[in-house]
Amino acid sequence: MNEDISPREWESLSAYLDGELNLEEEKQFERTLNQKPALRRSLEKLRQTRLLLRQMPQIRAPRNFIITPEQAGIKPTGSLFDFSFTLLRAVSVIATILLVVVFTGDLLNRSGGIPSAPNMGALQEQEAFMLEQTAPPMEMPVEAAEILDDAQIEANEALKMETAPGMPESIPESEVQTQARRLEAVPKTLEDAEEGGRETYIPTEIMPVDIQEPAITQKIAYLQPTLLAVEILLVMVAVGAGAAAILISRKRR
Amino acid sequence: MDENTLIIDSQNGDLDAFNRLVLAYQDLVYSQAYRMMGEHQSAQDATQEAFISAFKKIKSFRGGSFRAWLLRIVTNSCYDEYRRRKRQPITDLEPAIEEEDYFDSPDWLADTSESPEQAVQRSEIREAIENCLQHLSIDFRSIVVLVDIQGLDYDEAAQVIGRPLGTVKSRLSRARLQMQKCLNSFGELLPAPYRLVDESNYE
Repeated sequence: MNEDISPREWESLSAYLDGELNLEEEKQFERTLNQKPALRRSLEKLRQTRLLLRQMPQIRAPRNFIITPEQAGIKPTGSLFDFSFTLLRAVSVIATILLVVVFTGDLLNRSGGIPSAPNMGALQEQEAFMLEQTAPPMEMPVEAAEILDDAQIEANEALKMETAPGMPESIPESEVQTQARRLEAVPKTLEDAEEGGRETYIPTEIMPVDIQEPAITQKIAYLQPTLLAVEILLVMVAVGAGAAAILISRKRR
Repeated sequence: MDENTLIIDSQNGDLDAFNRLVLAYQDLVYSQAYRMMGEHQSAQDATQEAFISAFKKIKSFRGGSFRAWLLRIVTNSCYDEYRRRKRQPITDLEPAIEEEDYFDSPDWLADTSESPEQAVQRSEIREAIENCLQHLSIDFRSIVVLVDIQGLDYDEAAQVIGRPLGTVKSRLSRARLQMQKCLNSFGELLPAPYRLVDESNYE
């Protein structure tokens, strides 16, 4: 049928039918077409074939092809799952950080590392100075009482001598009188000491001051049960929130 | 809402807008896929893949013919599906439903001017053409479907298959020649009005 039509002519024939030749190519092909009846017959057959093909209807899609967010690779945003997951994860992380901080602080406190060295030293020096300035040994009040008795007797005797005739009006204070006056200032009991003010007497035997345990350490020791409770609570929150977040994540997948 | 607005919204990630485009173009895309693949299941797979791929790539659409852009994606999707089926042939457990589809077609029910005989004739022609199309290689088949059935011009077809204009001309002319030869073999089966004119009539 097409033995006398070259592949090049056949290509031009197809393009001519579709109006895809330029003006010059079109004129040239029409000249060839007039010279070759077989080419004209082929043109007509090709026109028929194309007509049949163009009559083919569009096929209706058997179903809708709308795509879902999952197919499109879009993660649903703002869902309750997402919000819960984010919240629980944040709570777990914050609780873990707090637990580490509290536990580390507690551990350092137990090993005596919380008060800083310079502050500790200053506190100890201050307390030692106060003791040195005010507190005599505990046995001193007993001796002082005996000495005071002796001194009072001597003072009474001196007073008698002073009132005796022939004696000068001012007699210089004896060594014993000076000692006696000084000792009078020393309180004999705790009540005396309290009345006289803490600055003058510190009863180390009755109310000992432990200079090895500063006040801050005592306070932290007082808080130990509370710290333990906080640590347990933080562990529970961190583990619970973390586990819930993992469960939600798995459920979403 | 016009097509351009839907395309812009889709480019901004609006899946609903894109799904409106899907509804508008799904018959065209499915037709292309079915004519290239020759059977429904593969055509559906290729169509779905094409739309998913189109949504993911829609930001790269820079204007021009959206129809041609979609046809290019579905054509590529068909090539992929064709290669996959060739490696792993699949036998459908369900019988083919083309015949059933045809008689359930709203197109058939709506055409009241056509007599049953004419409808049968039309059906025979379609079957013959579908049969001949499936005897073409996939490269020839795709170009015939794009130009002669979908009505694209050569430039659009070149854009869809990603080949130069010369390749389109060459492939189309050879594909048409093969189609013509194939349809001639159905000449006796085809009803008279559609029967190809014999060469002797021109002598």
